[in-house]
Amino acid sequence: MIEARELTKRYGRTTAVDGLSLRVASGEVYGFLGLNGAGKSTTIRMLLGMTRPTGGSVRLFDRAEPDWSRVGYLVDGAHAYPGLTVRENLELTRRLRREPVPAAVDRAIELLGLTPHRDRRAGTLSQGNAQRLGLAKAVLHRPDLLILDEPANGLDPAGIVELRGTLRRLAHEDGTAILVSSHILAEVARTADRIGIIDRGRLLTEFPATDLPRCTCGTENLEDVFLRLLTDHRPEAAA
Amino acid sequence: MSAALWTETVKFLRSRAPWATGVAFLLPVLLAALFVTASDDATLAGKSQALGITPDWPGFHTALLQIDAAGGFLLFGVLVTWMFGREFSDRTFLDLLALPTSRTAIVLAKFTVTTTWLLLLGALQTAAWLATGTLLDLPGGPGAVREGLPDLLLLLALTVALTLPVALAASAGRGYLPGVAATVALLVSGVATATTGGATWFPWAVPAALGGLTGTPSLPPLGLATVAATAAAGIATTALWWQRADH
Repeated sequence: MIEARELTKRYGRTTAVDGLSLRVASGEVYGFLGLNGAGKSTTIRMLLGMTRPTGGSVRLFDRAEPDWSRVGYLVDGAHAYPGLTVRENLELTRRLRREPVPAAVDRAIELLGLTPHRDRRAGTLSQGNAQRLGLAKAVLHRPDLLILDEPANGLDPAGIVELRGTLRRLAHEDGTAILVSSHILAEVARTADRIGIIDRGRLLTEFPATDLPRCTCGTENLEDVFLRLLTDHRPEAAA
Repeated sequence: MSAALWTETVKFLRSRAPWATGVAFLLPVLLAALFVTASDDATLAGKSQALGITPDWPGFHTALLQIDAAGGFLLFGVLVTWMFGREFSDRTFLDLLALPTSRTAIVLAKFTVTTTWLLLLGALQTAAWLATGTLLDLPGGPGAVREGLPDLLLLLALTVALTLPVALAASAGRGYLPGVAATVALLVSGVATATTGGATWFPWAVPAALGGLTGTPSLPPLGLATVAATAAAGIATTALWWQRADH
């Protein structure tokens, strides 16, 4: 569904992403984990064609030219036109995404629990509802590939649980390929089928999410596991 | 209507920009009327005379041209800046990049909406100028209007064209401030260059020359061509930046 090969991005002498390869298949939720500044956002922007790679390549749907009508995304937080209502914001997105069915707007509003807020201006929404609006924009056209950067930001615990269910349903029932980035292992562990850890621009390791209980060794919490995985897989540790 | 044009039109019409710019663009007419009818105030009357503004239709025309040559450019530049800079201020820019609707279509839609609105503002101001002059019952009526109208419309069209490159500053600078700064810099350098006779080679000096800010109003040779080329370059470079820059 999406495949990155040897993806590299350099800004002057700084290497933000260094030869990263990953693949997310149809019906899979891929958790993309890393500390702040690890290179997650730069990688995602390269996957979405927003930033030009210094090296490597990205293929979407096994095609050289990406078909953006099949992609939904939430990058750099959820933002909307503050003077427009929730519904108007989604209508703009529907048209720009060339989704032909007008009812897709109402479906997305319902899916993300925004029905009570549909006629409110986006600028007056709480952070959690603004995040729901951002997610509604991403899934409105039923994309085959969904790329979400920190999608749980600002959501309350109930919203996080709902989001988890929605993502797993989209992947496992509709066959959507989903890449979710986060710096919180506990959240990704509950949503993803497979997890990749990026550190200093390099993909350190990938493993099925089902392997995590084994990694915790009984006493560690998931944050400890994350930090241990980072330490264990860093090149200097291997040396 | 294309998706990009529809969305840009809705975004613009649902904002405060149409009302704010509509009101702002009537101010030059009021200001020009103030100068023309300033005979009761000795200080203002002296200033009007020094600027060559007489209490008649030709004077009303001169006053409006001079105000538009500077103020019109500033207002138009701010609107172009707002149109592009808001995507960065509202942080909606990234939402416009990975879509089946191309980035070039979005940029062209922004320019289309902006240019259409600025031309409508020009028409509104011209209508207000004609109505105000008639209400004031200024002497030297139809003949002066026939002579002055083409210059006024030309100045407005040139100002629209010359503010389009400001979109590149607002885009590459990712916000309002660089766009406004570029507008002010171009305005000041345009007036300064016009005073040294540089309107033949510096396109942003053409409105100042045509508006009579540097003496007798005149359109420099090749003035229209350089302005058209500048507008085209502004549109092309802005579209290219959206297409190729790292976001």
